[in-house]
Amino acid sequence: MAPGRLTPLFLAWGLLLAFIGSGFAQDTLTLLKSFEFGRNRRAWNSMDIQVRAERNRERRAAEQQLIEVLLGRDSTTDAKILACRGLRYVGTNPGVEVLLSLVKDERLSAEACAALQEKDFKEINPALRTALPLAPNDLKAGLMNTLARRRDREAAPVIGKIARSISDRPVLIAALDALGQIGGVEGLTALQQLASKNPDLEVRRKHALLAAAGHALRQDALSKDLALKILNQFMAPSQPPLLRGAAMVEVAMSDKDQRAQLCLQALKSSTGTLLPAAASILSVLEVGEFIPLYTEHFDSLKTPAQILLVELWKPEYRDSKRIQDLSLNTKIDPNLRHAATRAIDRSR
Amino acid sequence: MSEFPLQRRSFLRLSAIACGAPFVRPRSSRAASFPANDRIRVGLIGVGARGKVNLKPLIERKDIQLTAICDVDATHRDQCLAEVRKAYGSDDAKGFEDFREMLNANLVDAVVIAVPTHWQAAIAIACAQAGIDIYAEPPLAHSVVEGRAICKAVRRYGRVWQTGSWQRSDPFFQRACQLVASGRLGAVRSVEIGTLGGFRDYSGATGSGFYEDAGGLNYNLWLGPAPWLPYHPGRVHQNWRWHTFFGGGQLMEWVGHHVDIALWALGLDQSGPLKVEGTGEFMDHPIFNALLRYDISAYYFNDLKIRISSSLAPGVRWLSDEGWIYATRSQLLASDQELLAPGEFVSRFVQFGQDHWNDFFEAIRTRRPTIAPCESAQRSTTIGHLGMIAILAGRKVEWRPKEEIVFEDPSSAEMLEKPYREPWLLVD
Repeated sequence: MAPGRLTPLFLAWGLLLAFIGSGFAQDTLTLLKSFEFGRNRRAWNSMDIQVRAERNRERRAAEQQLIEVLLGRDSTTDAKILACRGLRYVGTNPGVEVLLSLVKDERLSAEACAALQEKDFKEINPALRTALPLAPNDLKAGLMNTLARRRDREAAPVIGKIARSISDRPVLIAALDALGQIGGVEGLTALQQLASKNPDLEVRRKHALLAAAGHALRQDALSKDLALKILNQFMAPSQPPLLRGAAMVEVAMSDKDQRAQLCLQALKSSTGTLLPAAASILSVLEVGEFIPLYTEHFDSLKTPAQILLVELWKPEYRDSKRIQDLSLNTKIDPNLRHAATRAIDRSR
Repeated sequence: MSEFPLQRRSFLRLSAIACGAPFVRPRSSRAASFPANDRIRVGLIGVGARGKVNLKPLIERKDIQLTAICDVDATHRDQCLAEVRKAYGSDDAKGFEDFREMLNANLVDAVVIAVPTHWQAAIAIACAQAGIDIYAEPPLAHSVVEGRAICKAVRRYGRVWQTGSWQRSDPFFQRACQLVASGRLGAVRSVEIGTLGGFRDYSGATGSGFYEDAGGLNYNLWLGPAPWLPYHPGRVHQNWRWHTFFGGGQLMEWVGHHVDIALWALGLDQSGPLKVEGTGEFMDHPIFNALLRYDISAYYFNDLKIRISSSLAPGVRWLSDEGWIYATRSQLLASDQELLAPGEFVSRFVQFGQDHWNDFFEAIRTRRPTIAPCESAQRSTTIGHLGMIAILAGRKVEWRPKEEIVFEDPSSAEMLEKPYREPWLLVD
């Protein structure tokens, strides 16, 4: 057969295959769209494989199908849920656009937010910020959480404004936690403005402030300054020991110059309630910072603090004679003697 | 079967209301360190299969008192509570469905957490914020980001942390680690870690059918921060580990044990690999989707290769030019018997003895670190997470262990965190 006569034949075959292929694709899409939990998941298992595919072409095809499921009027809610979960992995601009259109959808908002949480597209934050005040209260926590995990500092004033005006307790709690995660001057300021909003949520607000300060210490200079000011207020003796200790740890972790002094302060706390903070700070001290605590201040400390220092003693901290003596002294607290014995074991 | 979106929304709403309960108050009535004759008040969170195993040794201890039992399944909770009350001969121990109510009741100084992995971070962080010390089963967390958040909270609030990586208190593994760390093998070139593959159906209810009645289980609270899925009895309790929304299959079951030991012996349990690659196969099953088989390799700065595979015999084998040492839960072997001869004593492996529980409670009294700190758990668990990401992405993961970031691969980096279902929020 002459080559020229083959061409129409190939064309006919090609058209037939394309037709069958599109039929398959149509069938697959129908199966994807009609999915319900508890029923056959085969079509979605294939989609999962496609979503995980290394080749970009397959991933783009998957994204297109997932978008079609989300936009399909005949798609079930369950199918749309799975489509959102798939777009978390393969969603690019078109996928992100569809997900953003769903953040105010009562049935799909949580799934859309989850899919968007880690995505690095500049249009996401402004769109979420715009959607937040307009969304029903039921959806606000989810939107706030997503903005919080995306550390969107521009969202802090928006969240703060909602928190100041709302009486819905779950939303208020979500706002406090979200502001704590955002940090920065914006998050800290918004949390400060909520000071007298709800007295029974005051402890939660303080934990949020602590978290925000922790983030702010690693952000810009302005944020760091405000964070230190707030942490210093938390370190006042009038504050609950847990918050006071946590503030000391945060400052100590960010400021090497202060940490030995803060550690000593915690070790000397009168009732021992700051010992947990001392232990946290001790765990990051360098040899040179530990030695003076041990050699100069040991005798002035109460027994629990002494035990803690001996438990953490290493041969390079010097003065092993003291450890030897403690291990032999039957007049001291048995726990201190036991700690000294163990310290000697460690030095072997 | 038609799904019920409105009910799902109301589920979320209920959850939000529960979340709105007064925030857990920090413990303030007792000093942070305990006099030796003061019993530590312990709460159990999660008393299913693993929680029950923990109950026995705890109930026998005279230095602690079990004061609170928390489980979202009323059957488990009531059984455990009855056992505790019977053992103590009093009704003092209280039962709770919701861990936040338990923490608010100011009944505990320490908790033992044995819950599905997806719950670990939220509970552990809440406990740390309440000023409560924590013992938690491995793996540390459901994602790298969650694990770091736990470590951060433990340090910020000065909590004592013990991971249930009990092999660290086991004389067999302690001896193996001493031999490796004392230089018996010379320079270790690689470690081969055999872990299990496959899965075991603990429930026998793994058909693809769908159930609306979860009996005494508060399913919405059981789901917590995990993505929504309809209730299926074959997916809760011990079987949760076979679904990636709740656990990480056999791989993540073992990272906190054998991988932890491998790193501990080499002094790498505060550090991480530079590159991780892996291949694997996921379950093709009506209700499970975790890894079925896997082979993961992690490369460290000194060309050390750590291989974790479901095709290797279970145990840890350290290899060098001099030979190998191989440790399992029942034996210690070497390429040459000479390698196992008694030798140098390395105190860091044995300093806290061979009783994992004892170590935890003693640390609470003195505030010293335990033998299985949070940071070590984070490092061993991270290898599992990165292996999973490498398999899912189909390419190697370039890792920066100090910053805990994936290098120049945004789509792999996206998998370092698992989004929470509202109203839950990961707090770090």
